[in-house]
Amino acid sequence: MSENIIDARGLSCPEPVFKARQAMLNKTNSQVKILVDSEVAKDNILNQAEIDNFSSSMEKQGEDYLITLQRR
Amino acid sequence: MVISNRLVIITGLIVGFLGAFLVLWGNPVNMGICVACFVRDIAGGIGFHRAEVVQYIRPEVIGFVLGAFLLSIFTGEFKPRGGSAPMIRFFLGALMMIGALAFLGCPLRMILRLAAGDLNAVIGLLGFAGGIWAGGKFLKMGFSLGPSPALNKTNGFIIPGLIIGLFILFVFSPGLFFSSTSGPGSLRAPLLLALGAGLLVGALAQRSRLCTAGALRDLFLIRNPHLFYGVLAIFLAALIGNLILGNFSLGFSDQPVAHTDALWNFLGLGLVGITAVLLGGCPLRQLILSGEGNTDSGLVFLGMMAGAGVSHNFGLAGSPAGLALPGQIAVIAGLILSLAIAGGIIIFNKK
Repeated sequence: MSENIIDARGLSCPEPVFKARQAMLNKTNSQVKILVDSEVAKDNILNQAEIDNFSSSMEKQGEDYLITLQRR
Repeated sequence: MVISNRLVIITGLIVGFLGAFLVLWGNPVNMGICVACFVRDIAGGIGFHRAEVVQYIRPEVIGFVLGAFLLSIFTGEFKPRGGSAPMIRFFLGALMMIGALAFLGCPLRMILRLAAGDLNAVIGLLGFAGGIWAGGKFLKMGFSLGPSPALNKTNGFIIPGLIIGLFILFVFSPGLFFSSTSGPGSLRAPLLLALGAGLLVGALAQRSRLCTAGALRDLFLIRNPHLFYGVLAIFLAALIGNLILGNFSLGFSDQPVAHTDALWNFLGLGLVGITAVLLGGCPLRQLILSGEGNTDSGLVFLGMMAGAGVSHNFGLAGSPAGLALPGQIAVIAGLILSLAIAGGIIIFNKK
C-alpha cells in the first residue's frame, strides 16, 4: 500500500475521476487517496466509486476534499 | 448513489421540451435551442461577421450564462478559477465552433434534429462519437491542459458582466446591433420567453452538470451512464414535443437548416467531439462554467465567438447547399490542428 496522494486540485472534468479510477484499476495497491478542490470532482469520484464498487471515505481539508478509495 | 440521476433526467426533459416548443414560439425549425447557432447569431449581432441572415442577440444565451451565474452565487459554487492553457482553450473553442457550423449545429441541436427525424444528424452523431472516442484516447495517453487554480473572485465577474451589459444595451438600444430581417436570425421566440427559457436551462444545467460531450465521454471512458441519461431525456422530450407539434419528418433531404453532405456532417461534428473532450465540455457546458466564474471556459466562449466570425467571414460555414471547399479545408485543418495540439500536450507533459 502506498501513501501517495494524487493531487487533482484545479483539474477539470473528467480528469480527477479518471485519474482516481486509473489508479485503482492499474495499480496493485488496494487504496488510493486523491485530493480535489471542487464539489463537482468530489461528487463525481464518490459516485464513480459506487459504480465501480470501491468503498470510499471523504475528509474535508479546508477548501479541499481528500478522498480515500479502497477495494472492497 | 451520491449523484442522483433524477436531476439530470429532469434537466434533459426540460431542455428537450423547450427545444421543441421554442420553435412553436418563434425560433427556427429544429433550432429551438442551439448553443453554437445562438452564439453565432450574437457574434453576427455585434458585427463580428456580416452574414445577414444570422444576426441577433439571442436572449437564450444571455439566460444560459446568467442562470448558471445567479444559481452558483446562491449555492456558493461561484468559484472563479482559471489559468489552464488559456491560449489553447481560446483556439480550440474557435475550432469547435468551425466544426459545429460545418454541420450546422452544436451537439444539442444534433439531438433536437435527431428528434425531428433528420437522419443527417445520425451521421453527425457517429462523427461526434468518433471525435469523443479519439479525445478519450488522448486522455488515456496523458492529455491534460493542467490545473486551473482558484483566482481572485473579480476574474469570474467579467463574462457574466459582459453578458449583462450586452443585454441591457440590447433592451434599451437595439439599434446598436445588427439584426436579421430574413433567415434563421429573424426567427425569434419573444424576448422574455427566450430569456426565461435560457435562465431555466442555465440554472438546471449548472445544478445537474448536463453535458452532451460528457455523456458519451463518461460512457466510453469510465462506463458511467449518468450524463447519458440526461441526453436520452433531451431526445425523448424533444421527440414527443415534435410529434405533438407535427414537426417530425423522417429522412435525409429537405431537412430545415441542414445539408446532406454526409462526410462533412461526420467530420464537422467529429471536430466538435474531439475539441469538446480536450476542453472538458460541450458548448453548453462551456457557457455554464463561464457563468460559474470559470475563466478558462470564458476563453472558450470568446474563442467560439471568434470562430463564428472567422467561419462566416470566410465562407467556412455549411448551408443547405452543403459545405463549400473553404469549409472542407477548414474542418480538415481543424482536425489536424486538434490532433497536433493533443499530441504536443502529451509529449511535453511527459518531459
